[in-house]
Amino acid sequence: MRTVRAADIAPQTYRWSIEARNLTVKAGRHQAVNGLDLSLGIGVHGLLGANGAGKTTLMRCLATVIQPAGGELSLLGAEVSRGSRLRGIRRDLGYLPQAFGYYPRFTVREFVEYVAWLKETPAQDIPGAVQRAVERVGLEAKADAKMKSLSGGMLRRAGIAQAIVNDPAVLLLDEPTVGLDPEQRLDFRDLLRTLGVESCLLVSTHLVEDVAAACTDVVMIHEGRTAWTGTPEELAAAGADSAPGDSPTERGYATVLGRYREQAVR
Amino acid sequence: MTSLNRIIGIETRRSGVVPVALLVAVPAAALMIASTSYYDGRWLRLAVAVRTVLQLALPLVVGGGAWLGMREHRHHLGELLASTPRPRAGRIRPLAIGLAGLVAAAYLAGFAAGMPFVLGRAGYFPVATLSLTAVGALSLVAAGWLGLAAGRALPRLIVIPVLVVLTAGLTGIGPMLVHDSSFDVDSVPPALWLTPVWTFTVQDFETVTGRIGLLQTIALLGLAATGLLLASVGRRGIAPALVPAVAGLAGAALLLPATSGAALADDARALVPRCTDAGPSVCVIAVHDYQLDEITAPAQQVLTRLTVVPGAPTRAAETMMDDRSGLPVTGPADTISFTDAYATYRSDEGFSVAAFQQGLADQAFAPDCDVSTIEDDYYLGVAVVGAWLAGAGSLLEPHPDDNFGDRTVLIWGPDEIDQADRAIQALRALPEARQTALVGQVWTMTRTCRPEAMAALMALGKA
Repeated sequence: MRTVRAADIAPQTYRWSIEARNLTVKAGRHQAVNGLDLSLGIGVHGLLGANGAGKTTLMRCLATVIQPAGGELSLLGAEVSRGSRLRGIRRDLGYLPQAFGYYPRFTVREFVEYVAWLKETPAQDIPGAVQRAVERVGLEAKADAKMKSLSGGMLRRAGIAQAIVNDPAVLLLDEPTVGLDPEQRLDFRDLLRTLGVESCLLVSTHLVEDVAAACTDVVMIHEGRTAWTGTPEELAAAGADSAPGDSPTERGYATVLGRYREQAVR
Repeated sequence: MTSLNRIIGIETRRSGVVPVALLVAVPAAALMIASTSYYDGRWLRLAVAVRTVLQLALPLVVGGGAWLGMREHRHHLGELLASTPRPRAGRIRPLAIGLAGLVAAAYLAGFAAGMPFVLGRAGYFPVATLSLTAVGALSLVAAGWLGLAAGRALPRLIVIPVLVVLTAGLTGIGPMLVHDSSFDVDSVPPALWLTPVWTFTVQDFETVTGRIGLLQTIALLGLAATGLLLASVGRRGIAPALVPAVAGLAGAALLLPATSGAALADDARALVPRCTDAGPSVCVIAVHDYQLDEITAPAQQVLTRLTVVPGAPTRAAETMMDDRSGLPVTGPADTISFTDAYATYRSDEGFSVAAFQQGLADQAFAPDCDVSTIEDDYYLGVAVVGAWLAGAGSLLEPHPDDNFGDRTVLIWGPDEIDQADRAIQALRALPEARQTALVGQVWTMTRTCRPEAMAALMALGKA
């Protein structure tokens, strides 16, 4: 049972957990996000796009790892460009990077505890928060195993555990299902649904089926711009019968993306 | 336990701090166990011995610190850490504290390894021992933090050997080379006192002045602060982070003595005599009181034999060595002076009672005049008297308490030993009263600078 903090019961003073207007972000010299608009509230949001669409750069910017090059970005009602607010925003952020780094000699419990400390979780809450995070990703049996001894799927789950240890209001998961076996992916979808009840969860993925199964809505981006937004059901319905794909959602993805490309060419 | 303490514990156990600390503790303990004769019974010498370990330990700790400083980069944690609220300075704190604590503890472990050879034996504790040890530990903390900063700023493996070589050159090898090129301590630049690696020679009765401890502390605190700040700040903070090091080194430079030798001073408390309670008085200086038990009986044996000689010395006391003659500084007429008994008469095999007694005889029968006029025969005569005082029948006869070697230093050739042994045996063959009278006559004549007195003694063997 976690302690209820004052922040948990404080009235929310913003409409969107994540709000971007004409956002531009550079990845090196390349402008990977180019005039993107986005408004996300509580729920599970799937971020879809082809390779190079700007998903990871957008996630890094939302995680406050890189600064926007232009436009406006607000997280939890606070402007990201104002450095003084960053620390407060980060306390309520959870982030699983695509390339998840970890200290191999730490145990799972130690690593999650370390991240909880980095997120400035109150000292008295840390033991309970760590245990809860480890249990939620199903790693309690491996809690005292060294990180270097974990399989790829377990590492991904440990990565998710560190991301959720502070019960973040905004949770950003970049390719979280890589390395998970089919059964773990099913469990993971359940976890996403649970997490999305209280927080704004943005999941970047290539796996359209995960989006269809667990997300409340979908954001598709192409070449750094928002190409389409809607629900998974709307995405599935948009699919043309002739479009490539093994499921309605995959066909919907291919159809919507194809239309956007055509429009962009015109 | 606070969360910071828990994180310090985790970082210390899992980050590689322990191997870095072992790089200090193992060589330090090994060296202390291998070189006990350098410091046994003397606290200051133990502290100095541990400080010499820094020659190896400082470069290793700088390299180890750099290795630790690279770990975020090595394990690709930059991305994740950048999304967390705890600032860089806060993130480095557990590792920095853990590293500082363990390298300091490792240094103290080296000191502790030598403690069994001092504790319970030394009756005198020079306060400078504490400052020498504290400065040594502080130097490792500064080295670790500077390495940490370098590793974070330049996370490339090549940086580690470069830092190790650079540190060894600056703190150890360089100063050693300067020392080797000079025999006179005052011709060595006083700036060498800035390095925490011990490169100077200190006598047992000397101490390091408080000024040296202070200037080294100021310099090292500045370097440590700069190391910690550099490890904590980004590129923009580099210039301000350098301020403590520059200020510390400048402050330390202002405190440097005019000459290197001025950093060492006689320790008046170390020179206070410590004497036996019973029997003929035997005294050592306070810093050597651990020797008193072993030298008392042999010295008293010599003094007791001398009581039959009118006006002969009645006590033996340790004194300083005369730098010009290399002999003990002469004390009052009733006293046989000797220098550090262990340094003079102890080898790897142990303390030579016979050699010590011969040394006392040499000093008791030293002619009271210009020694340059004395012939070798005189010294052979003194060797004969020494053997007689010790109750030995031959120059080669060991003392019953010695389980090694001959009873005297073999500076004599076979013919001279044969000549002396015949004189010893002839002297011992005389009636007791005649023996003491003859030795007394030799004593009296040496007091009036008539070294030919020995001729009569040596003539006994030729008869």
